[in-house]
Amino acid sequence: MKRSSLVLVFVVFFLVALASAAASENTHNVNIAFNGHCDTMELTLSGSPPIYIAGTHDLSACTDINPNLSPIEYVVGFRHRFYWSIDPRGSSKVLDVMDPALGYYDNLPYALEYLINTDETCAWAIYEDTGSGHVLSGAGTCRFFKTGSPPTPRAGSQPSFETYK
Amino acid sequence: MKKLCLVVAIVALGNLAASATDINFSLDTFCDTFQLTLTGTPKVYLDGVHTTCPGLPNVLVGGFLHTIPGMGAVLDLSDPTFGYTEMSPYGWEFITNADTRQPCVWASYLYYPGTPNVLYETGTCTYFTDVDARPNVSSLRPAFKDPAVN
Repeated sequence: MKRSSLVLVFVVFFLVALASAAASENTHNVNIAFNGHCDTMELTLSGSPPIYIAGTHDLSACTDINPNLSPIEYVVGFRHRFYWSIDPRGSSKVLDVMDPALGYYDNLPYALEYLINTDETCAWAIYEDTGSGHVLSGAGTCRFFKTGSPPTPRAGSQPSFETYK
Repeated sequence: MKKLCLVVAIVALGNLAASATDINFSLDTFCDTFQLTLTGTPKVYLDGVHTTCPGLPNVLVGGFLHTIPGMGAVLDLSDPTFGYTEMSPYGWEFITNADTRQPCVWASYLYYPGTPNVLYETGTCTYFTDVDARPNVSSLRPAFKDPAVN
């Protein structure tokens, strides 16, 4: 093999390795359990910068959801800068997650949004739209866990989005 | 007198900040319309109605105005259509540009099992002030009826 071909092969391998490394650096998981509630979220952030959120909202440990419905929801959103003064406060960046729970589980035509602070402490707030504006309807703290190892919830606890009941 | 003017100015500024802004747009080539109101202090709280097509239920949407790197200021909406209308456990998100002096563009994001990409649809949109003045769109499909998912 000519020297120039060898260099070319090396460069291609280097670029592929660099791209792979960059891709892996820009994808990471954030898994949270809502304290005092039975649900968890396993979220993946991707992109460059890593702002795209996709993941699952797992309610399989919740006992009072309709057993005929899937206990797993699929959620999307963005990580973005936001105001310190708006709940959950305490961070200039939030995970902003769109959730179908009110429509899917409660059969209500209402939007539901989670804002989650994971930079300093784990804290969350939910906003609903029931015809009176985009209203804060619940908030709390959360804790992180390793992928596939969610903590056991307290017996009889409610899903985080049912805090208004 | 100066103090009175100062008080009036402060009150006027407060009212300006607190006043609501209506933003209405329709998705071009779809039958969907959004009639939104931006409120709050700071003025970032967004809520309103997503009207799909005749015969389909309307849903209430909401979210925040914020910035996204590479996109600038956006209106970011959570939409319950997949959960409510389709009985599917999928969160749906709409992003449109927040500067209504610019051409209206939108994208929606959806994550469902097996999808490699959360970007679901993109398109242009049109601002309007009177929903009744909108041309008949009954022949168009709603945005959530993408053949790839439905």
